[in-house]
Amino acid sequence: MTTRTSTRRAVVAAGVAVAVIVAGLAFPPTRHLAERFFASLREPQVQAVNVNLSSFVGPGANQTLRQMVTQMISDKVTVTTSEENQSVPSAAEAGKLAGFPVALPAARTDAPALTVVGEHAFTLTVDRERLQAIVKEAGRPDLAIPPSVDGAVMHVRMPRSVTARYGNCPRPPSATANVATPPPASTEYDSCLILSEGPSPEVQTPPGLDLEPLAQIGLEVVGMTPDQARRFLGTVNWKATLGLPIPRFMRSYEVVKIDGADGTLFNLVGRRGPTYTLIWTARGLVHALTGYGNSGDAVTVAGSLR
Amino acid sequence: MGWATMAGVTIREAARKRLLWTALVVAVGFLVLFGLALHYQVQDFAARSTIPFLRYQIVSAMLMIGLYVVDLLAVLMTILTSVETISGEIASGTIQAIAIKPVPRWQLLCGKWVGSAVMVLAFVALTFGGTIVVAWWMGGVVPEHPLQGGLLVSLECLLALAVTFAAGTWFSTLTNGVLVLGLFGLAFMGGWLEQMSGFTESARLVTIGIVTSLIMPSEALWRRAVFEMQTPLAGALPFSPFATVSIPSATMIGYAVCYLLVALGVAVWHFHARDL
Repeated sequence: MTTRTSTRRAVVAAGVAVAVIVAGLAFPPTRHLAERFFASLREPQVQAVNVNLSSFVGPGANQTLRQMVTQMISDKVTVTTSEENQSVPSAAEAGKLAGFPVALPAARTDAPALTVVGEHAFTLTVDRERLQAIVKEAGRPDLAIPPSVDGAVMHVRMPRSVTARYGNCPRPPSATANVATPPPASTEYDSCLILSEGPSPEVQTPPGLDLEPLAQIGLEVVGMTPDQARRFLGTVNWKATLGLPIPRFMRSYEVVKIDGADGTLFNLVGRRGPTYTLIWTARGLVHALTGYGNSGDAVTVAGSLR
Repeated sequence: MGWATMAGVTIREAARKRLLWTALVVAVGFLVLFGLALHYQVQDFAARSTIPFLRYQIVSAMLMIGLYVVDLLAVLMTILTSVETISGEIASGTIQAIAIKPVPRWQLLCGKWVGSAVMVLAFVALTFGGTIVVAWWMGGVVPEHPLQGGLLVSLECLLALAVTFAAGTWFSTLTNGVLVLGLFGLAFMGGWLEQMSGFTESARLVTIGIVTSLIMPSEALWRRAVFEMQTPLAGALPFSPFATVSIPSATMIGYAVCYLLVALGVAVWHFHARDL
């Protein structure tokens, strides 16, 4: 057999194979089979349902923090509750829906756009080996995760919260928009102020599993030093980090007093994001105030909540 | 045992052409460069009192980059050193002197393949193992499952070798090189597009990645190796170039093994059937 003959045969065979495949894909059963084959070539996405936490994330917040904290514990996540957000006309209406009295800053006289963020809940199956590897990576080999927690189910419930947006604020962030659009003029969003308030998330952990060190590791990943992370967790319940817009691109950090309570003021840097985020706890609720203007006003605005 | 003789001849031939020594120099040069980079990075950590957690993540990331370079280097070495093995000897007529001996053609081809495979695996063992040892020695970091990672990178090289041999029975050396490197580039591009889907959340990019991995599964093998070797936290960081976005499954690995066997089978069949 000459090379030319065998090449011709191979080309014909390949052409026939391609034609058969293309023709086969015109029929639904074949297409279904092909889809199943394609799906089998990649590991299934282990999350039963995506945990959509985008509504908890403020502008400039580190979306990956709660994703990371969740993935530190497990890749088996099942969403049990996922309510839609609702726009409401007044603070009274928001309070009625959210289940707590809503306080708004008296320092702002313009009307806010109010949203009641829906309740979200999910369960995680603890992967002990993964947790142990992460605490070791984090330079905490002393933290021993007990074998009994492996496979245990953790329940996380993030109750309804309320968001009040004042002034001219940017649209919710998206990965592609950040790349595709030019940065805003430096003063465009100066009037923007976003206040989030709500109860701290409820987390049921199996006995013997302390998750506070994991929250600290998550904070270190987003740029805090171990000391900063420890001090921050001294001002706010670690469970709140699951629901709070922990900022990225931090320039500096300071502990401030709001009506006698400790709060944490993050001064931020970033060409698109806000200039500050202030996080504190009052009246049994966790508050996050994010602004695009002067960070020196943050404590005054926070202190004027009525 | 004609194939074993041919394997030995192939290795001796490579040694005669100073191919082994050249590969050794390249490997040592790479390891020295990688070691120097890690050494200076660790010195910088000490000067700036970097926290242990961040230090671990950075050294881990450097190790993964080092292993990725090893992977690319090993596949390119495999293609470049084997591209002439069959087609070059056919073109020069040397094959006629060998093929008339009482050694079946399939043993001739398989012997050359085994000889080349032994050299490639030695190169992978040296560079891959060396990179891990350097990272452990300088930065105290070891990948999660180094053996699985090493085996997958070796499989990728053997796959490239089989495809190069198969194409070598059909085409001239130059065409063979262009074809196999083109296939490798296609898989490389498809793999990165699939990885981009983690950032752009595009299911169609994943499909493109899967289709290219069916055409040439080399990059999918590397992606699985990364998944095996990376720490869970590093894999969870979506901005990492090696984040676990779309992980090739065991079925994909099985497909790659079948692909290798079919490529080798095609090489044997066509080498047996063609005129020399």
